[in-house]
Amino acid sequence: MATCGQFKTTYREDIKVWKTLWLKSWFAFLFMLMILFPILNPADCYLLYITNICGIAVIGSIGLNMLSGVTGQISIGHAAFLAIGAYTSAILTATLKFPFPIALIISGFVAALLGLVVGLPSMRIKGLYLLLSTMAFYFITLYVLVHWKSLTGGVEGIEVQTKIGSFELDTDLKFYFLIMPIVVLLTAFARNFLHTKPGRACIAIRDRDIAAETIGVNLFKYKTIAFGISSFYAGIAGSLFGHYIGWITPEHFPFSLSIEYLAMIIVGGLGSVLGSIFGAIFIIAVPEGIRLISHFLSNIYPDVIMKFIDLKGVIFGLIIISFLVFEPEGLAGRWEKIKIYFKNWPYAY
Amino acid sequence: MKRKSIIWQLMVYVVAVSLVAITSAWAGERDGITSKNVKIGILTALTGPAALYGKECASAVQLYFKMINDKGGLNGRKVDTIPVDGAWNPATAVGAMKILIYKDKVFVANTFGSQATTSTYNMIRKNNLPVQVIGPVSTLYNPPRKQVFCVETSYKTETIIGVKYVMETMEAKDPKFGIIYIDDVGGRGSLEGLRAALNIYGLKAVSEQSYSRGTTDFSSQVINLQRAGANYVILWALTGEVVQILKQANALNYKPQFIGLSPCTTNKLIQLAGDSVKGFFTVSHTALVDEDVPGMKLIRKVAQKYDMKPGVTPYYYHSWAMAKVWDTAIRMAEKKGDLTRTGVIKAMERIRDLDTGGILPPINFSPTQHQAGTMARVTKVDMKTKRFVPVSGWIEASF
Repeated sequence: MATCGQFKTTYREDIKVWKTLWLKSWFAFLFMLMILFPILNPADCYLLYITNICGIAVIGSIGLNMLSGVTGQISIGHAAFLAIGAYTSAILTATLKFPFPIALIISGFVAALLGLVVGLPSMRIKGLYLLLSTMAFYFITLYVLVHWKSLTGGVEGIEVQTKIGSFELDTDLKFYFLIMPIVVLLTAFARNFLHTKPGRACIAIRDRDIAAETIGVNLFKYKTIAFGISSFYAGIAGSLFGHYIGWITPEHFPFSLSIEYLAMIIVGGLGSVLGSIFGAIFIIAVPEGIRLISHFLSNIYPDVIMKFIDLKGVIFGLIIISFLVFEPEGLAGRWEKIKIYFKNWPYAY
Repeated sequence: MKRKSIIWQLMVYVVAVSLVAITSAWAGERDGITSKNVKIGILTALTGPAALYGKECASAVQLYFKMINDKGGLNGRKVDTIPVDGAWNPATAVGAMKILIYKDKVFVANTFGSQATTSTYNMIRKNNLPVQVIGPVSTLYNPPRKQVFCVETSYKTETIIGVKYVMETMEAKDPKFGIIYIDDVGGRGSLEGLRAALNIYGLKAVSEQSYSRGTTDFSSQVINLQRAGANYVILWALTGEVVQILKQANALNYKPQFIGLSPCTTNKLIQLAGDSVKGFFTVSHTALVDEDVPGMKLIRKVAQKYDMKPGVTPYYYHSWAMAKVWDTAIRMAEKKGDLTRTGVIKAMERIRDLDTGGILPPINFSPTQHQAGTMARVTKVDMKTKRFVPVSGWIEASF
């Protein structure tokens, strides 16, 4: 008998990642596209660069979403964890001659360790006070990066090369094939984490921490776990960013970067892995798109770039405000609505 | 129903794959020079906190090559200048440089800001792209990097010249030096210069005060300098910040000899700081905006011809000089029959005593020297005319 809708009779079925054949085929298509896309492009090009930067931002924004969207702990110190990841990896590879893959993993764990430390006060302080403590952590980190010159190179930073054995990662294409598997792996981890006991505990803390504690959730443990996981993601993203750019200085991690990551998860959708992906792509790609438009126009009207460019911030701001006003659930929320619309089409319900 | 769904899915597949194919057509490569034109990229800050300076960098290069194009171009080639916005942000700068190299395929490029250059250095090296940088950070030129050149005198050198002037020309008695510097590459360079110069005279700074970008209250730095008894204070700060420092020092009745560097050598400083700017002097490697040297006269004349306003910051004039360097190097490379990026780099290294009409000291490059500036002048505020006036000729940093 044909049925409409999906029916699950066990919890295992409900938490399955690959729920339907349709979903499986879409993912197969996505993977095919991810492999084809770089091959069809030259090894070094602007489009691959934007894709790689989006990939790195996706990792970072998923990390922040695990902390702020899933667990409800607001942080504006994310740029500090990105910097810690980048510097750890740079110091390990450039100064201590560690192989890059080892340095990448260590940078994630070093950031996670510091994340656990920053997470400790979260038991006693909440909301805006926690926000201020993460901000203070950012400035302390930046101070250390600037002043511990013998280790970090001070304001002049560290030049890094990315080698796996004798194989040098020196093109956008090579980095694409490094970054994308990590994106897929960490996205899959985050998606599954939400269905695990710690994941559900984090959601319970976000929804009402007193109620969560009443039903036996250890607030201290899960809040620090959330900080640790979020920082681990940021550390990995920072390491990849540092190696991709090839030279890091404290100026690569301005305070505005933390705000940018917050914007990613707000625009994408708080508490949603898909939202983190949408948000990261949106925040990276839209300004680039505006820049490209002005650049194309400048070929026709040479003076336009100098005039149009001032409007860049205004246009970007308007787009974000429009999203917040018309789609408070973020891009992920809009995506769900579109899916439901097509699912029911041609009917309204 | 099922068939309809499959057809629909197939259609989406086709559209998506076509989109990938279209975007891949963006591919393309190199060089940026033909018999008809030459492309010069300008990676600058058109938005963000340094937009005022960044826009001037682009405008000056565009004005220079407008003049050259009207005279028949660069050996008959029309020069296309292509500005892109790096927004004073390293990650944005990388994207902007990708556009210049892979989409517009520029032949050579200018970059604005040391962090924009360090962020894009891998690309510069890989594509062997000759670049001139506004941002005299010693790590970029010491040791010299093949593709990277700079016409400016470093802040380190300017500071050394400032100390040398105080010690040898002013013959200071019992000098006690202090410094206020921004905690970035430029400021740190100045601090290094102060330490190096004082070391030569067997002295040490009595107080070293740093501040972060965005600081508006300098009272703690000023009080610390006053307590330490500094009577000569080097300032690595931008115009607005220098105004605050001078006013706060005046309010505390603290009157040492303040010595600014080129970023604050603007008449705007005199207008904003009022009486507290009295006696202030700067060390600068650029001619003054209203100075009547041939280079500045030419800029004013050309700007007037095209109904444009000349810039108000030193970076405008640096950029004009940089455009002249490209003009010279490309012509030299063609004369040698090697009009390639490598040919231009070699030509740059052969540039000797290039005269910019007094805008900058004579420009010299060599295979071991990619930072041309080794000289600067001392200028002093003239309270009567409310402008800076030069009080020395070009001074070498060597002792």
